[in-house]
Amino acid sequence: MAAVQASSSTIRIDMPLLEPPCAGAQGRMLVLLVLNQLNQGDCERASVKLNDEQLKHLRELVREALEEAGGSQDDSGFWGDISDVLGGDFATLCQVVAIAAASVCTFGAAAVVLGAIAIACTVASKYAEELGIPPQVAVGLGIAAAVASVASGNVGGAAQGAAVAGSTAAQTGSQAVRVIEVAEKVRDLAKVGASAFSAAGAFAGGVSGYYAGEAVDYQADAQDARNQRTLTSMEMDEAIERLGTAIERRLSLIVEASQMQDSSQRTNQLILGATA
Amino acid sequence: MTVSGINHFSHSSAVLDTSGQLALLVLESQEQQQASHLQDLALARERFVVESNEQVEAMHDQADAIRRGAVFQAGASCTAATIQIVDFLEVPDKGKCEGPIGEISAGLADGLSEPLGKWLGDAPAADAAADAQQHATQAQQAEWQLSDAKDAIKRSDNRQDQALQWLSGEISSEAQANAAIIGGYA
Repeated sequence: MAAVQASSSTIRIDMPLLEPPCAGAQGRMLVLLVLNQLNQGDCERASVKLNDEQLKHLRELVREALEEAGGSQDDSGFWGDISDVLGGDFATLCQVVAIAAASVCTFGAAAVVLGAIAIACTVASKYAEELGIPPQVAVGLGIAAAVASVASGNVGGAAQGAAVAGSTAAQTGSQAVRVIEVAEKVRDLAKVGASAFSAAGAFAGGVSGYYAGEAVDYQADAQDARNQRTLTSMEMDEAIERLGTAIERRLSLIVEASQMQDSSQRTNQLILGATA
Repeated sequence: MTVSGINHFSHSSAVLDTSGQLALLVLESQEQQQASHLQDLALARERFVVESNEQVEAMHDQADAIRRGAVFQAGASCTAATIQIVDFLEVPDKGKCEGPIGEISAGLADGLSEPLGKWLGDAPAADAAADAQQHATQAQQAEWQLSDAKDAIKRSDNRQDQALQWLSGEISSEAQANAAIIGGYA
């Protein structure tokens, strides 16, 4: 830019030379062309300056948007970890305990089998990624776990009724009843725990998803600013090229004008010499 | 120099010899080519702007889908947990057996949370990401077209300069010849 300005100011200083008092029509036209090129050069210089300021502003925008995106990504990761721990590990553990306790307190063979299926499906769906299970299969396993869990509880509930009735009839206050009561409490507590952890995990997952969305939004803003920067940069390059061309043309016009003046002078001298 | 097919150089070509007229023709041809390249440049720029805007829009759609999926998934899971807790806290009347409605609906809500999240969140987000990628590729192609058009304009400019120099040389040699003739007569 400094070089461009320097050369431009040199040309401005030389400009009076272009306006000889006796310049013909061609000379005047050349002067007009040079002036035109000067004006164009000024416009291009202003355009370059504007584009430069805009580029700085866009660079700042990109930097800010990327920083925000990074922050949101970090937040999303943090809440995602919390969600994984609460809704994944803790809730799964509670579910496993609840299903096991349900099987114990019902004495039902079907409930045990269903419970085992529910445990397997729950664990498999929760750790699908680590086990290399495709997402669709994981979703199916999750649904299967839920169905098996519900069925286990219901089958267990029916068997429990029969077992309690039988055991109450056979031996009241026996050891089995106490085991069933403890297992029931454990099952209920584990169910509530699993639900609470699931809810907390789901909430944390929602917050994580919100921040993940924010991060993508900021990335989109950064991309927008980058695209604008590309366009501005192109416009600036074009303006610089046009400025260079204007300066070159101005110089060549000056050379042309001086040659024209020389030639005119020589012709005049020739005519004068011959006349004399 | 050539507007709507009218040759603006033709007025001056009457006083030029064959090579001067040829230089004029080259100049005109380059002018036309440059006009065509300028049109290409404008089109490529417009395409770049459109594709870039669509890419950004697709990224915003992706963000919206991620948020929507997270809200629905969390909502379904929280609903399931709430149903389970309420079901647990509700004490059935004596002699009445607790119905399985609570457990079934909780299980359903819990089981549906992940498919809901995937259906309303992950899948549209992946779609939007693919769209954004496609628009990014097209914007990149438009950028290459822009660069090509600029190069072509530069080449055309150079050829125009060469033709102008040639024409200028022709005019000055003709002027010298005229001066010599005038000198000879004098």
